[in-house]
Amino acid sequence: MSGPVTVQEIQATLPTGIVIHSYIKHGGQGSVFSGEYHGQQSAIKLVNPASTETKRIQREAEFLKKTNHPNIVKLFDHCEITLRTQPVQLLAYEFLDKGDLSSHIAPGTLPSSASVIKIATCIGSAINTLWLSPERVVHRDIKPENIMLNSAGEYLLVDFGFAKHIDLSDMTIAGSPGTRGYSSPEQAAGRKNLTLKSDIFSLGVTLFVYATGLHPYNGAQPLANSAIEQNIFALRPDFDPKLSQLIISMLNPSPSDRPTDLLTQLSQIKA
Amino acid sequence: MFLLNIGYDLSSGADINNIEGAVVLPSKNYSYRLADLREFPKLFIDPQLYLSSLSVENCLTPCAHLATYSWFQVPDIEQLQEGENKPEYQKKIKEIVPKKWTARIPIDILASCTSAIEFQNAHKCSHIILPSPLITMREDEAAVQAQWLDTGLNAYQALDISKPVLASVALDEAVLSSTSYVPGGFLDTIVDQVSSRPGISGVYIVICQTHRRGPYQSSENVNRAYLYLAKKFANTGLENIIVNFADVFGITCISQGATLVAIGSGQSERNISLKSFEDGGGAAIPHFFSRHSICEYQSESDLKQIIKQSLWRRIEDQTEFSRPLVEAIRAGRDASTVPTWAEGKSNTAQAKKHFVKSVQNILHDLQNDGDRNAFIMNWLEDAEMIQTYIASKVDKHFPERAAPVSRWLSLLNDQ
Repeated sequence: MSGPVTVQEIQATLPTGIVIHSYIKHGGQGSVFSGEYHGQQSAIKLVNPASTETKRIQREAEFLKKTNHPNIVKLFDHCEITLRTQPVQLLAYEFLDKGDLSSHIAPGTLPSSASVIKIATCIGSAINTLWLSPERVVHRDIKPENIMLNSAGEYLLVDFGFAKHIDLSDMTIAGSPGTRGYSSPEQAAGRKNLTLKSDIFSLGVTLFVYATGLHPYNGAQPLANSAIEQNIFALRPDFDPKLSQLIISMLNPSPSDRPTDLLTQLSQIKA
Repeated sequence: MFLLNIGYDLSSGADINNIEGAVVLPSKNYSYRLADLREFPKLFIDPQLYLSSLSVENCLTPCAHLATYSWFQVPDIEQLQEGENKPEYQKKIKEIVPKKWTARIPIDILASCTSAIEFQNAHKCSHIILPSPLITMREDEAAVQAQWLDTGLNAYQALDISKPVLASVALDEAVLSSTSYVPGGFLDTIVDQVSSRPGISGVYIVICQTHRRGPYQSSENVNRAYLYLAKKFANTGLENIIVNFADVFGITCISQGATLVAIGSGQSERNISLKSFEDGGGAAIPHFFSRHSICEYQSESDLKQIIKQSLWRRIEDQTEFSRPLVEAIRAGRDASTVPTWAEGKSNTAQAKKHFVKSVQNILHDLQNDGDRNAFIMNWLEDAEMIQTYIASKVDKHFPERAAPVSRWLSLLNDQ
């Protein structure tokens, strides 16, 4: 058989209890479909058989299966199916129906400080949980596209394809991990043993973009000597200055100078 | 603010009042000797795992000492048994160690960390210092040390000890370069690694110098790294920032946020180098330390020149240990008339006590000063003026043991 794989063709290979409804998007690792997992709405990812990241995906799946946090996407199941004689990894995640943060960034309609604080608190909590796990996980690709909203109004961190575990320091990854403009200077410089401070930087860029509609470095990848080119205080004079200052401190080029108590500081800021 | 480094002489500092705390050095003692430690308000045992690469061929005695601490995981080393003859035990250890000392980092990290923590806890330490190997390469970004730190924290939590726990940061001078201090640079990476791990109450900083050096002779990189690390760790909000083996320069780290400075009376308790453990070195003669000029003067020959030029009042530094010397000089006599200060070989006990007491006095005055940064800058600027004035009267290279205060001031101004 040749030609594009159809939904029906995939459905025929799926284990009992997993149903695919429709195609959502295609990413670097494979394709994502909407569907069901034993009656629950689910986002089902099929990993491209040509992907060289099989081991990494397995580790991601192992980590997510044992992680239970309200701001980290839940993985229902991870298995392997055979599609056109090739083994394909399947990951069934909880379905997040309100889209990702990038779809909520619209020029001219700036969000309230309350929603900025909400995102920072949700994702900051997820970052802390990842880091405090025995594996010391760093997500390494926090950006608007990887923050999703569910129907309960919670923001969740998704796509752990680039997540780094300390015990995987010997694993290589094709290309440079992370996303240009959102990676921390140390990540962009190729530092191997990143800490949560790297994710805090990426969250800082994300919050800046969400709050102002502008990228703090005009879209460029920040380096250790990069200066922030946009003035958040002028762009969002309605914000509590402590919130703007906190976002700026998250963008400190020196990781040790970024906030260690992000959640505490957020709790002290008035929305 | 003051911690006394305690080497072989476990009674060191016993006659000095109000010592806030002490750091005990295993490289100077077989482990059984630490059963006799006296109590201090703050007591630390530095695990000194950063010495695991010592060469047993050149450093038999320190290796023999260290081998008796189980966290070094040297096989076939037994502890002293009750009633066992101590010299015979020491002889036995020195026979085994050359065959068993690997000069490598222990393999079983968890067991090593656990035993180091248990030992400190059992020996009345007020704080626990987690062991960590020496950072000798920039390229690995202290990944090995991060692994030791995580394992040490796990061991500490498993043992359910309530004492505050400190991370060791032990650096080889050779890893330092001019780019180490930039944002996101090598030292920043270390600070990031340590400060990102919750549960740590502080950090214990040691920089091993590449050469055996005399008093005040640290390189600019070493001094700068001490300042940088003290400042960066202080910015992260850690409660305890201990600087050790920085010699008198350690006092300046208080201005950057260090909370405790450890220093000892002998050269090997003032700065550290793997080379300094090698056999060698002659008998010392007494030197008089002046806190005012931050110099040390040979008690007879140097001080005779000082007195001859009427400069004594510029450097006079009285403690209970220097009082006989001070009184003799005021009476027109010199050190040769004071037996405890006469310039004889190894007649250094009183000079060492005076040095420790004087450093303690500086830190005491600093602690009570409202503006510590201004205190340190004033102290250094005054010393610079005194040194310059004395040099103009005697010789520009006088005395041999002089703190490079101009450089220290410059480094502080750069912060």
